[in-house]
Amino acid sequence: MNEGVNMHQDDLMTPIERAKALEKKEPVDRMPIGMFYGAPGHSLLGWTRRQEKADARSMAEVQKKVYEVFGCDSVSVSYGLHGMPVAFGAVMSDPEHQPPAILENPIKDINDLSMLDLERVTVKTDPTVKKCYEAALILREELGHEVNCSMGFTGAFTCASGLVGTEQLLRALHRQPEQVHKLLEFITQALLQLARPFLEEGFSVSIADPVASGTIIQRKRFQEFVVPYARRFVKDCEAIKPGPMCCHICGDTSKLLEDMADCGYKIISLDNQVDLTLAKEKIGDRVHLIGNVDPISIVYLGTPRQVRIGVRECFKKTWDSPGGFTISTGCDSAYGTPLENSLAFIAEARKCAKYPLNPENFL
Amino acid sequence: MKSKEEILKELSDCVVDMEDKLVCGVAEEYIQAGYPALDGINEGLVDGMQRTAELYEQEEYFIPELLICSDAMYNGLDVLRPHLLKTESRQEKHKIVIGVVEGDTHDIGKNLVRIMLEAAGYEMHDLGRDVALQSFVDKAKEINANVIAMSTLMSTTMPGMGQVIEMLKAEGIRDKVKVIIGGAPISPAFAQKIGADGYSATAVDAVKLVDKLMRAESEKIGA
Repeated sequence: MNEGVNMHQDDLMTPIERAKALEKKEPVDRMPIGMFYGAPGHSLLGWTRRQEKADARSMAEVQKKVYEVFGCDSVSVSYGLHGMPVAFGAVMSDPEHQPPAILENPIKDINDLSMLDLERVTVKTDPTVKKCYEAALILREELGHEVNCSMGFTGAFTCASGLVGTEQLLRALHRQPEQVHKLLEFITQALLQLARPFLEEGFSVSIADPVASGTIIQRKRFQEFVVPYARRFVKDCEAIKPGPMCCHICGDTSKLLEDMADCGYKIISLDNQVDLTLAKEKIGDRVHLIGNVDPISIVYLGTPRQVRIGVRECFKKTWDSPGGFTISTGCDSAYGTPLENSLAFIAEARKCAKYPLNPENFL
Repeated sequence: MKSKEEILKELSDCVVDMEDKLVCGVAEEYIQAGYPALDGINEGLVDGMQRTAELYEQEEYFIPELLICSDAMYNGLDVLRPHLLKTESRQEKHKIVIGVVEGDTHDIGKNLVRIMLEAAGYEMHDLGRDVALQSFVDKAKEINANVIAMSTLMSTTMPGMGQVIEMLKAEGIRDKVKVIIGGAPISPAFAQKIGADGYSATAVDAVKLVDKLMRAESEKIGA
């Protein structure tokens, strides 16, 4: 083992060694594992959320700690659900520990989109992206020899809901569809402009689009307002840096699975409301699936034993999905999740993911 | 002149078809023809909202459609309500206090529940979003509420719901009011854990839940 390597004590390979071996179809110690740990990350250092978000260095420190404690197969920085509204002057709450919320959306009337200006959403001018970019560079410098860092952006539909307010956006899907398209057109350009420097530096980019949920809008609207923009974004990103892109959408996307794959995402992370068996049947041959232990009912409110059962359930359903499977939580872990539960998740995930996958480990 | 039934059907259709502008003219026409406002509300607008709820259950309609249909209902109500007879508007209804618990500002779900319960004939007292826990208790005492309905989208604010129940106990009024909860992270198991009287996954189911609780309550009183 190299000096200075922080590799998790229960692993025999670093995430990068593992990824390289898998690419060459060589044996590994275990398959990759994941666990969303965004909201509680800062608590591992005994910090507040505000301390974490203070600057690039503090954001990177939290990611390093999360990696040290759990040893998942990637670290990430994130634009956050509200990055773009913030760039355009949204008024935000600033809670000490919990995720912030938008108190006032920047665009009051969707008929007037005059404030939108691509100059305000560049890696130099957008304060959230600027910090993320610097944090990603720090993480590569200090952890890059063993684990890759990815950048999480927020999908155009969710950015739109933050810019104009969710209710206004949803009404406008019927009332001012052409304005919604204008807005999404702008956001898609902005997102590509923001993603470009990350991609050019070799960071992979992922998307979370929680408002584009099958719990909120129907398939027809998803096809009209989400798919075309996502498809263009994925295509343009891949042109800059080839490689599979990942997307997470919250809520019940059972009826949108094919459409999500149609967007061009090669990795799809599913909320716990979606049955992995169904996802495997419908799109398991087209994409790599990630999911989906319930982060609230099981990881936040359950016992370590229930967490371990939850992890095994997911493996049972999806381990043989043709496009591959990575265990994770169905959405972000909640602030206040008992650490013993998250540790139980990771320990069980390691056990079940042992290479080569063997149903005896989880059946 | 159109018959009463014809205009009632038009009012109902305006709501279902998301005609939030057209509905005002139809409501005016209904009043000018001399038909009673109360029927216009119940057999026209509310009927439309109930049909909308059915479409939501059948997954024909989703949140955007529910929002616009409810806009149409409220626009119609604005026209018809001033014409209600005094006795009609003072009709005794079950009272419900509703709000998003402290620490959370996501209120679309709560708004939809309020709309559906209002359409179902309940008297709604909406405290808004990010509501101090004590306010639920205070308001319930003030108006003698039958139900407290709490919502949250965030996992971190869930415990507040249990605290409200403890506060009701401390005030000695837990048995006077039913507590129902909902929101993305909420489950029936969580409702049971904190001792709530009910949980519903959707706004439409919230109406069924409250109907059931209120029916059980009146049977208890009757017996």
